[in-house]
Amino acid sequence: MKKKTDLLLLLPSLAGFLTFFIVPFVYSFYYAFTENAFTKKFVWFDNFKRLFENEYFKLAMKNTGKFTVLAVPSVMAISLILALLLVRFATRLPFVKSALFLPVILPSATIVMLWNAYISTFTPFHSLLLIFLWKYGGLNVMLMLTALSGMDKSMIEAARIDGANVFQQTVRVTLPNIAPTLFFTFILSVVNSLKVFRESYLLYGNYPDETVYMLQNFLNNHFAKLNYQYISTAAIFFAVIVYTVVAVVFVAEKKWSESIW
Amino acid sequence: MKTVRKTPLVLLAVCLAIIALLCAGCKKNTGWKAQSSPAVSSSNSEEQSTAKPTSFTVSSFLHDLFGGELPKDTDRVNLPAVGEAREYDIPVTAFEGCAFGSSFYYLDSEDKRVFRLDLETGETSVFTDEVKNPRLVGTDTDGVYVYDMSAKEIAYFSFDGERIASVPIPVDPHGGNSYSDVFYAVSLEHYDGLLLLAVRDGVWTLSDGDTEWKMAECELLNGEYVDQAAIRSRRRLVISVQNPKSGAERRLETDISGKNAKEFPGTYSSTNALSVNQGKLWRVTSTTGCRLYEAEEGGESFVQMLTGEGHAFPVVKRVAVSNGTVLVFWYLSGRVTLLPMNTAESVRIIASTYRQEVVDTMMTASTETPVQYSIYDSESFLEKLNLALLSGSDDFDIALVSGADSDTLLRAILKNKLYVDLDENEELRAHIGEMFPGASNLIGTDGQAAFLPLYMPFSIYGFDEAAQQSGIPLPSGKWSLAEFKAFGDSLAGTGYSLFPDGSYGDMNFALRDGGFISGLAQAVITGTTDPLGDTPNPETQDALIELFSMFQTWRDNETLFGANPMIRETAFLVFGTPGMMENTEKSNLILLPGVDGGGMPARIADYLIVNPNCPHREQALELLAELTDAQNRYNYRIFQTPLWPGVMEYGYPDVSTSGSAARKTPAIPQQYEGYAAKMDEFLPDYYENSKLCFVYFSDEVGHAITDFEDGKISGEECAKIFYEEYVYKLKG
Repeated sequence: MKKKTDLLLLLPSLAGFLTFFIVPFVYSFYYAFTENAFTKKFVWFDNFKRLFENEYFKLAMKNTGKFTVLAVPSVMAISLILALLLVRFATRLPFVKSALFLPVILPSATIVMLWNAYISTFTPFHSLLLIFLWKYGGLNVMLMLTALSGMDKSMIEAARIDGANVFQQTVRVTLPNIAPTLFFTFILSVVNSLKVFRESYLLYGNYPDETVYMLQNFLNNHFAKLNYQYISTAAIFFAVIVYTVVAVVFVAEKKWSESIW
Repeated sequence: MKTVRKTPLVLLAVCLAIIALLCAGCKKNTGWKAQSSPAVSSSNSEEQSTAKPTSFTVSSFLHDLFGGELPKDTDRVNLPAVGEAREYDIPVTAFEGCAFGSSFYYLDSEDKRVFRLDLETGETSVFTDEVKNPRLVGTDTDGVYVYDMSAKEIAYFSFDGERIASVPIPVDPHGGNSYSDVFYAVSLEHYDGLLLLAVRDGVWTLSDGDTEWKMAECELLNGEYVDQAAIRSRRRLVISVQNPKSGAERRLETDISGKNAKEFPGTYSSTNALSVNQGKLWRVTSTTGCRLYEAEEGGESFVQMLTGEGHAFPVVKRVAVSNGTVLVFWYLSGRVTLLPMNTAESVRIIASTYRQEVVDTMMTASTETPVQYSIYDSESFLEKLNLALLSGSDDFDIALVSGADSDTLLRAILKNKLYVDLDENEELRAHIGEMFPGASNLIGTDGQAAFLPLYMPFSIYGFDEAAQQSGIPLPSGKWSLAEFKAFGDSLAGTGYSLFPDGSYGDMNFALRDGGFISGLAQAVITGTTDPLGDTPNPETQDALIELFSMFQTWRDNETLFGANPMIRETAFLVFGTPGMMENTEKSNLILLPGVDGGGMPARIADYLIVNPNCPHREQALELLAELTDAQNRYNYRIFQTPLWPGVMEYGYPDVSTSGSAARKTPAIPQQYEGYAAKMDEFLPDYYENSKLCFVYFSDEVGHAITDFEDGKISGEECAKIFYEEYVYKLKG
């Protein structure tokens, strides 16, 4: 009975997920193997081959990869350090949390307007990176602070009595305790870095400087050019990358948790 | 347990009863004043002294039934359905009118009474109760409303002409905006429990049961005045405003307070009459004949021509659409016409508002195929077209795509084969062959004719008289980029330059030499990159850098521009102003040098495609065949591309004449006949050597060329800007 009720409550959400995600995603597979959305001629893996040969797809992948590799570790490290400092020294934690969350709820257009008005000396790539760190760093810190606040303080106390210094307390006790949150924020950061587009679009338009031509630019521009087979193929490729990263992180988390506990 | 459950229900019922009693006791003073006319008894007057009469009407019943607002499709006019056109004579002094059911109520400037024309019998009767100076009339399901300018009130009559009540107007008529008092009030309507009075400087509404008029605070800009207004629903109004200086018109839909306004897309024709019925907004213009349009969100569709017999001054004053019938009241013509609505199968063309005039001309030019069209806001047209093509829509037969909308859509259309091969129609194939000799590659792909060009913005160059007398060997016909380089290098130290210095008056560089430079860059891009491919050829950027380094050398040794130019632009778009055609008669027309030994980059700005999913495929092709016949192909209002042969035949047809009797103003002035003959000779070569090019002149490119000419940027920098604008944006 309870299972049935759960399913019933989930139904609206599942219906939306099915309609707006699963069905189009299945269609993407269809388009990815056809000549185009109009002639519908089956062409096997031609679209994948042409996509991997496409200069602009390669450029978009390179830029997106570079951005993710730089942005995710940076945002994770900065967030963690800030969270650890705040939990130790901050006196008004709820206020700090709210302040940190502010960039997430600020509209991208506002951020970009402020950026253009006051800070426009950076290169396009660095501009985008800094905006990303500012925007998503706050969210990560907030999540980490919540995890840190909920941690059992007696464990740190015990480690301190046993003679562990601050670094050892952090590495050996604090981090393993908030590991699930760290993995979650990591996945969130990876996904957000792969999707970075709004700020890039608002700052530099559909055809930005080639250093910030991202995968989303490619998808968006080729939609306007009616290249649905390209968009579908790229979307599948993109999804595979995201799911692989998530799977790897889940496995790593599981193994790490097992090795600790 | 049962008692506990019933208690809330009982309480609720008691509360509702109290609220109902309170409402009944608080009935408002409505502002409507009953008339003490002989037709109304004193007892009735007493009863109606505080409100507009509340007799049972269809309107009030529906109003109550649907909770305060009538359903959108309510027919507020209920005209008789007619199988064929009917015309009724009324006095030519009739200046205002409004229809309901089988009656047309009108006002006469000579005889200041309200007249009723029976639309079944053609008989006319008169309202017995008088009004001092009636200026506007409106009808609803419950009676007739008349604006009396002298009495400064709106009088309410029964359909039998019995004056029942009146209400004072909210403002004094005045001659603001340089209009006399007579033209002060422009629209009067009653619908869905709302009375509307539109005056030149505002729109006022009065809800039934209310005492105070409310003004819709729509913003009038730069001396605009309200031209017309109509009630769309109890909560929404449609207002048309005009600027007396520019003649520009804006149409807005607002709520009754004038807020939450949304603007209808602009059109090139101004409105004569606005009408709302069954949730639809109708508009009549008289710019090129009287035309009825149905306005939609983001655009409008042509419905039919409105015609009547013997009108000296065919301008529509009022229109009503109902039951498949269109009622037209002609301004100062003494006529009322009932027309059956056009339901014939037609070829449907879609276009952006930017090109409405072209579609309009196409429709007029077509005598054999019935045509209808819809136009959409220029900003959203491309998106609509993309989605229509993506979804395999059969809502249209032909699309007129404008280069201003997109420079990449044509490429997408060709690449995805989103067209009907125009060669399917033999007549059309023959016409295209005549118009673009040897240019099958120019208008299609894979041996198919994919589109019909309407506007090709190209320039024609020639060796100037000075060049012919210089003694320097001049290339003829096709020439390669290497030959061009050798020719340019040979000018060093001769006192001759490639292009003229300075410009034609206020014309920018594009009409001086930038067009040639830009055209050459486009030739390089077209020659080195597969135009339909998805990825740029790595050679393209190098070739552009090499080209601009060549120009830089000539710029620095002062042979790029000078007083003795060898090459001059002879015509821009061919049909240019005479000032742009100096020395054209003495110039030898030349092709642009091409990377593969020749080839002019041909840009297509406006073109027609036939929707592969269209419901009238054959008729659509027949229409195009008709538009490209010898009669229509030289119509400059449709084709702005020089065709071979007969450049001199191009002209602007007089809109008041048609068919073989059509008078034309030549597009090329008579004195350039010699030049036109040269063009005729040159065009077959031009078309044979043209290649489809998907790039457009952009501001960035324009600035880059100017900066390059002024020495502010190097050739390499200029080449990179060209690459970004023309290759990255095309394929990225």
